[in-house]
Amino acid sequence: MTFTFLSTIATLAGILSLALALVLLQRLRVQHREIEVVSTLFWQAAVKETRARVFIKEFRHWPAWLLLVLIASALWVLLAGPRWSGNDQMQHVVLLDGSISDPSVSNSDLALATEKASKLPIMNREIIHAGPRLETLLRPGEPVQLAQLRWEAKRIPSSTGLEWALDALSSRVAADQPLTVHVIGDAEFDDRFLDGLPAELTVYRIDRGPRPEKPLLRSLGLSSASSGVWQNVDVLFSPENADAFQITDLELTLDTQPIANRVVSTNDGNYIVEGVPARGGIFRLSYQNSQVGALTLPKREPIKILFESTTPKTLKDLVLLDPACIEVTTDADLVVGPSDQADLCLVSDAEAAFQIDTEIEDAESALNSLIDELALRQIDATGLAEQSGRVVDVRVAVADSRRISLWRNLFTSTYNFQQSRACPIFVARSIRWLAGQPELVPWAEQGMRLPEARPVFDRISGSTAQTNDGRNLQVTRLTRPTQIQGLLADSPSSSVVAGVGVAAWIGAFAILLLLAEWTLFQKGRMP
Amino acid sequence: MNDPFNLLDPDFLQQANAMRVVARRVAPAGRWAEHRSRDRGQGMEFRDYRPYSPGDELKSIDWNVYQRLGRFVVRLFEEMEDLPIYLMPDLSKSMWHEDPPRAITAMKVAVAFASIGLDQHDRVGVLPFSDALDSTVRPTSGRGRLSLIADTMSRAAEKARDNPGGTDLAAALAKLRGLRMREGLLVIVSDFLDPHGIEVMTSELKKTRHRPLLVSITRHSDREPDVHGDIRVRDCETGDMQDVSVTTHVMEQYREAYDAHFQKLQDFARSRQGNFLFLDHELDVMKQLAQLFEGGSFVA
Repeated sequence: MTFTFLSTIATLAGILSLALALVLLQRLRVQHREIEVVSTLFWQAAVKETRARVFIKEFRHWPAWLLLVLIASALWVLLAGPRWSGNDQMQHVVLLDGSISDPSVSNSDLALATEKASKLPIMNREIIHAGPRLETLLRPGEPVQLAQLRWEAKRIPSSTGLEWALDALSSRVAADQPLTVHVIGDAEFDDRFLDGLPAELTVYRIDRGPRPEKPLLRSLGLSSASSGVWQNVDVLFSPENADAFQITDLELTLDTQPIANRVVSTNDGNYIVEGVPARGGIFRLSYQNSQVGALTLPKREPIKILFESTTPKTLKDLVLLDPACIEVTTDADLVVGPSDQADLCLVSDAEAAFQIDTEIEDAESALNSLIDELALRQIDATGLAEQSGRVVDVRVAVADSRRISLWRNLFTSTYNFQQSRACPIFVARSIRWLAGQPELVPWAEQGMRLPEARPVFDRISGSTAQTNDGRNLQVTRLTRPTQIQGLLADSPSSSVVAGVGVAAWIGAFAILLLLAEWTLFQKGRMP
Repeated sequence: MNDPFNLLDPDFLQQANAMRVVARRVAPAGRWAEHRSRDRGQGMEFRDYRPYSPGDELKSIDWNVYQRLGRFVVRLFEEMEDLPIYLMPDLSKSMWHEDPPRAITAMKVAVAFASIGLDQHDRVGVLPFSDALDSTVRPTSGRGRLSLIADTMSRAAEKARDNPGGTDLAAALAKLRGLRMREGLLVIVSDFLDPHGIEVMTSELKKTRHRPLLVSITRHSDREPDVHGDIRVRDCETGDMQDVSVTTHVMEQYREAYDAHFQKLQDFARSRQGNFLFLDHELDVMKQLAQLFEGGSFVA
């Protein structure tokens, strides 16, 4: 037997100290029960030779002393945190699979995890939820009930994959501290990945009953519509077995209504459903009458533009070429004009040619991305410089909101900017950028961890998820794109006599001894 | 008649009356009764001759002797006289300490002896004692006096119960000696736990002319007290305290002291041609008394 909090020598020394202290206490402690008798004649004669217990006289009441030493030793050993197996340095992690492939981590899974943890050595066990990051639900030494409380207190988000979690856990492994991970979930691992794990890291899967039928899709996601229509999106999906996939067996619905959008096959085995209206509806894919995936689509409203009176007509026409934009006089999303309140602000030539305010704090990286995003690279800056006789510069500044300032004369005959191919592209992209089109959900692919960048899938319940901007997202079980070559071994059953079991037995023993001591004292057989 | 302690239980008295106290020879100057006396008198048993002296009755002259020797001699016979029985029940505080009190048993023993004595025409005196001797009732005889004796004892007991005193047998015996009563049987019924010690008791007993019968009222727990651990024993009479850590060794010492105490009493009684009886307070009194009366008689 080993001890968690004290060394064996310290434990034994403690017991010895207690025994010695109790010897002193035995000598000091005299509690007389008064008894009235018919005569003290014989008692006086009896104690003439054997005096009542005093400090310096011989030690008496060996049974009482032994009983007290036993009780004190049991409590002391309990404090030392006994464990039966002296070689049990193995650390155990019960890993709850919170990946997008298995978002339905339920209370039953948690119950399974706590049941498993309760059979593991209390100081060597943890319960960890693998969401976007590793969330510890139960730390070593804590009672398993805490896991349930933490689970209820937090709304722990989901993420994709589990291999990254094992990668993170493998960093804990040391030669003298092996680690066993018990996975609760359906996430599958590539044998090549498992082979690459440290030898001290053993991965098991806890059997939680029949596994669900393997789904058809291995990836699912959204992108802006290739047609350029603002209010539409394209839905992308990858069937598990592209060769056997029959597009005629596919049925698409939007808010339970069948839709007949064009489905285009790409050469890499993906399919794109084009031009699905982005009105916040639920898009479902059914294959052979079985739903295989679902997404809650974003809601894309028209961009309402207010043009100030002195706005050049050319600019106004260019903006309104974008079908996403409509002109309004009130409640505008964007203002275009020369005033300071304008989002697309027209300034004099004395200012910088292109002044871009962005909320991105890293101005340099913002500039790099905006050069492509706003098609600045396509503008003939050299020509403009020659015409203006000065440097055409692009400045990026960090501000609370997005704003673009540019020369008003770019839209007059002073320069030939409005005749360039770059002009409508720059205007359209500037308006879209200023309107801040919502980000679309990136591809969700099994086995890959979602980046920390938003959005993440916040688990709500079952197979419904929510993005960080508040949209509901119906997620689906996705399979790995790579070939699955093997499965994890089942988690071995653990000994029920572990950690807390020993402590409980010693505690019960101490209580029994205390009861015996109390009973004997009440009967007058214990001083 | 008021009998609060049920001393005159008919069944108990009937059993007592089946017993006899026989004295080998009682002291002279007693009244006529059933015991052989050292007095020469008109009894049935021939004892001796003596020369005739004027005044002797003519019928006592042995005419056969006169015919052979020519001298007048008078035949002497043993006088049959009574045996004075002095009953000393202990009514001290220790005799009232437990429930039921030992004092009642002591009084029953005294009543039993009183009944036996009165039934055989002996004089019976009741002298209850605690720290002093109650000598208000002088020895009396006559069967009808039993109720008087019981009543006297009950009143003394009630008084002692309400206002109990300590045990001082030596003082009581000293006072008894001062009464100069005729030599007889002295029945002391007590727990013999006089705080003054056994030596004081026996030395005072030696001074009495009476033949002692010591009846010790005991309980099993007197010798085997059910105590454990650290105790503080308090004497119910004196209030003296004694701290004791009860161990096997201490209990052995206690029993040795107890045995030695009563062994001394027994030895003393034997040395005075008296008797000693342990009478367990928790058992049947009459059955235990019967041990004294082998064949129905107790030879004093």
